[in-house]
Amino acid sequence: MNCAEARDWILEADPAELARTDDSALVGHLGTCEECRRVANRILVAQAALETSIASSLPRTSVEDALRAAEVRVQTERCPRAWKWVVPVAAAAGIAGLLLLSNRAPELPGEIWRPPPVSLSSGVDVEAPPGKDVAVFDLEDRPDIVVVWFFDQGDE
Amino acid sequence: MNRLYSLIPALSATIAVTACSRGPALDTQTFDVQYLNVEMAARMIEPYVYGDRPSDQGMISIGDNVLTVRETPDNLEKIARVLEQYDKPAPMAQLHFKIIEANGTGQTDSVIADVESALRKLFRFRGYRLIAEAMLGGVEGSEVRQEAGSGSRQFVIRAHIQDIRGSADSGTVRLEVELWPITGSPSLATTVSVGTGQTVVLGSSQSQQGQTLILAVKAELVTP
Repeated sequence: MNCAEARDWILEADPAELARTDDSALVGHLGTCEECRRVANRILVAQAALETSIASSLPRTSVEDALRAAEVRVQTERCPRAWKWVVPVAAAAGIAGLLLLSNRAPELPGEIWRPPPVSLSSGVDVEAPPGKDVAVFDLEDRPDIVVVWFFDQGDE
Repeated sequence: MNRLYSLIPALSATIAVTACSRGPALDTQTFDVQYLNVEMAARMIEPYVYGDRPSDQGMISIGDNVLTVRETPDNLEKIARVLEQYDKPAPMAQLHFKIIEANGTGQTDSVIADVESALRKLFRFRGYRLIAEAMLGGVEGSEVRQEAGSGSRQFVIRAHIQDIRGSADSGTVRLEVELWPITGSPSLATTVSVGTGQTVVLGSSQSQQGQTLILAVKAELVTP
């Protein structure tokens, strides 16, 4: 896959692919091309911002809804540059992708699951240190606990 | 008799002029200012004091933690209510920190059961261990620091309480917080808002010698 093809696929890719935790031709290309990897990271950040914006203006999307949206997304035939579908589906798939990622996380001793650079919550006001991205996790069954995780920008 | 009738309009006019030139009845009252800066308190009540009346202007006199105000009884009552509402001790934030180490030993620690159950839903560390706890407190604008832990696992926690809002049951504390090993560089540094009763768990993908440090902070507001 060359860069031009990769850019087309990046626009349609699941967050798991953009974060390179999935396995596909696009993920393979992102592993070797720093420039495309930067584009993918920017899209992930934009998706996170969009999700935050949607979450603040609409009733919160439940996990089940997000998973259903992700399933629909998977079943939908890809159509390059279908922008009007990309934005809302990507936001829902972003959440679902993260949940799926967490289920596939490795079980090796001490190994950390590194979340992709997205924020799952708009409820906590937090500043990431310079050079770091931040992910904020609300837990549905523990509303009194919020987990804030920092990771290096471009962390892979 | 006719002369008397002719005097009535003139008398009425005199009374009217006298009544117009006389301002409202003013009273003077001194208020204790216990917690607010007295000059700030004076600025706060300034809108209730009318210094631009043609006569009998209201006035404020600032003393040593007292304000003496000359105004109408109604306005003095309003001023008393304003001071009663705002001249209160500043709430203090109590911060309960837990320094937790995530590692591969498969340990569990009942002292951090609530935080650990949350972390296990997100991360794949095998074990979590409480290294140290610290209780710090301060009012808005204060900076507090404390050493915690023992032996080779000693840390310093620094918290700058930037802002305290709300009340004990629904408040927020804005914190600049840093954690670092007593002999090393900062492991964690951020600014975060913590709701009262809420526990914010801060961590970083950066690990040191195979261990990852996690800092949990719970905030409470206390009014002295």
